[in-house]
Amino acid sequence: MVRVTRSGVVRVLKIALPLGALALVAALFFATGRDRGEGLGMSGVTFSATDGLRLTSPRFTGRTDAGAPFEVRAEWALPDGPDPSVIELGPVVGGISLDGHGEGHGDGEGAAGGRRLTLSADGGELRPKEERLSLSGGVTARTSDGYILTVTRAEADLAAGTMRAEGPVRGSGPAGTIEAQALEASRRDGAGHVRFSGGVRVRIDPQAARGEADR
Amino acid sequence: AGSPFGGFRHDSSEPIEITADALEVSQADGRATFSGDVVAGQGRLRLTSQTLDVWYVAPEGAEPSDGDIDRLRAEGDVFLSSGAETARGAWAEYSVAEGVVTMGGGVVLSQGENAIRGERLTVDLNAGQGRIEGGRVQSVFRPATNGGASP
Repeated sequence: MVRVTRSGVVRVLKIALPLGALALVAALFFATGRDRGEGLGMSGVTFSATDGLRLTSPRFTGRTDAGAPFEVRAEWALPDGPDPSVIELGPVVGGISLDGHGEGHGDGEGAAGGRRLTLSADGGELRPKEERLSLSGGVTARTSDGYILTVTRAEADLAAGTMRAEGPVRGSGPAGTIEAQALEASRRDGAGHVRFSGGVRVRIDPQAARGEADR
Repeated sequence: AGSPFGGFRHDSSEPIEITADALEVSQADGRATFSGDVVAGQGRLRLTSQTLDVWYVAPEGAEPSDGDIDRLRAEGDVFLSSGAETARGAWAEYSVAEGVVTMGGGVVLSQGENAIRGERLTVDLNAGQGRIEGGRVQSVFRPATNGGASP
């Protein structure tokens, strides 16, 4: 007769698939508001140009559709002119609160307890007129509840809220790992949509997922 | 006769690995779809198919993609094997809450040299019983001797 581990199957197989949370991370990688006002606000740029046009530690702030404040900070930025079409960026760090109801104060700090996503890369390029931001060099997105996504290059259309990343794409979380060659993420009316491609491998540890999900 | 997947012991706490060409996750409808040469394995259970859909049930308030897995559906050259037994069909569905796997679309179930062809295979993982309906028995089904059936 079958000795099915009653505990195993009867209980709902609760697997907080890492790709679920990762989808959130990827989809919110660059979720920004649609209209110009809410888009990538250059207002937050603190101009402390010392050598020529080079800006030191500029801050770019904005709000997502859901009203969550986000902030991208670079060690330096080099616009290609007074009304720049391309701004080269030094090491970049960004922060966004994932639960996005916007009460967080301006500098990207999320509401207390809300999940936060932090982003870092060795460098990048901002095209303000096209509202496009590309990041390269160890691009890493990390959530406060333990999910990490690393890609080699990411290209984001900040107005449309879409992002494409080249691999290797590696994601890991308490409940498992995911590997792929490319990643496309977008937000359609508030919900994230992600496609991993180029050969995908997902590993899930149901025990960890159960533990992690029941925390 | 040994019930289909009768000797089958599945431990759902073992790690799962799924490989495919691509994976699409839609937060809006709480669904993840693996497509292209999907291979999913857990312990001795192994499934291959062209696509594998995973539906999440989101506990209220939580993000749809952080929830429990509600249902999986594989489609396209579905092949399910548990080491001793294999079953092939056009589609297979696993309802997690009920612990029931159903397979349809020209099912061929084989246990050792016995093969049964039918329209639908249902395996209740909890009760450890399986049933195949419709179609005809492919070959005389030699009841496994007492000790020999389960590995």
